[in-house]
Amino acid sequence: MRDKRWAKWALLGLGIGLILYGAATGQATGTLRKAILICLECMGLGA
Amino acid sequence: MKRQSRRTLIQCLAALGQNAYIPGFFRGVIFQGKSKLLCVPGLNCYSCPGALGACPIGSLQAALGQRTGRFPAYVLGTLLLFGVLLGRLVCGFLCPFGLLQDLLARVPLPKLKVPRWLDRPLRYGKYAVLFLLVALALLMAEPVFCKYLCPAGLLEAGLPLTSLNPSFAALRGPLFYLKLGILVVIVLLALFVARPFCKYLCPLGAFYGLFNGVGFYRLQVTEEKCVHCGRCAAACPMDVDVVHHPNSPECIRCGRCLDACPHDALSAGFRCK
Repeated sequence: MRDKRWAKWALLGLGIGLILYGAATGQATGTLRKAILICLECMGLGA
Repeated sequence: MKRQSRRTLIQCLAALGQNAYIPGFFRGVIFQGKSKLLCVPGLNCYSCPGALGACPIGSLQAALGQRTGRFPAYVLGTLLLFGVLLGRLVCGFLCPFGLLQDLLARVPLPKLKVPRWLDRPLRYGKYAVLFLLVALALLMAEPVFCKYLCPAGLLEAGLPLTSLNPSFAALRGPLFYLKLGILVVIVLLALFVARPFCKYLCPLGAFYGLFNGVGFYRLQVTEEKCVHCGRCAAACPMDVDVVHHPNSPECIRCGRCLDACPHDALSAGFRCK
């Protein structure tokens, strides 16, 4: 039980850390650029 | 208001909130504002004309498929955050495709119970889909899940945009009809089997399920009150043995077991300790 308590706080910290690192290194805008374009694959269009 | 009515209301508000760019549905275009850079918690296609945010699975594939060699920290961090805070509460309350399946389950038709010998191996299907989408995004630099399997993409993006925009309608080909076939099969299955996509195919549910056992949102059984009547397990749409595995990776936190328990032996909520 004690381990699980430690694990959830550690995972929460890791999640927030990754988001902040990703945002600081431009991933939030860079890697998600596709989201603002029409994704033809998602729609089942194209080859 | 009863728990299940309240849940349906939250599901509807979540689906509307994530797809609130109404002009997109009339003009056949997608929203391109800054909120699109944030991942939403559920399976909600970012090419839906109304989508205000990005699908985390689509974003993960896009990030992996860029082949920059960079670790997709932003998307994984977001998935981790939703996972540890909410787990599969996302499936039960916030996912628009989950809402669709719940609504289809309400159609008064005979409901089928998938036999255990078939159900058990099929449940691993969603983990296989999760593994394959990551592996193939890395190897082929293609959003394989979105392209070949995701029924939400066709329902929320493909069907409205090809109906509204003739330039998209001209691009319909074999892939479109393959995905349409998958969507029809899932919709038909959902009329008879509860949440078939969530049980067997959804990679997002597979990921969030990993956190049900360690996350902040917990289901607890008070042993002193439980008389082992089995009503909770019978009420569970995901066929979870609630008393023995209250935080099973399969539990979507819908709360039907809480309603079914006549002795208040079950409780659910966020626990910091």
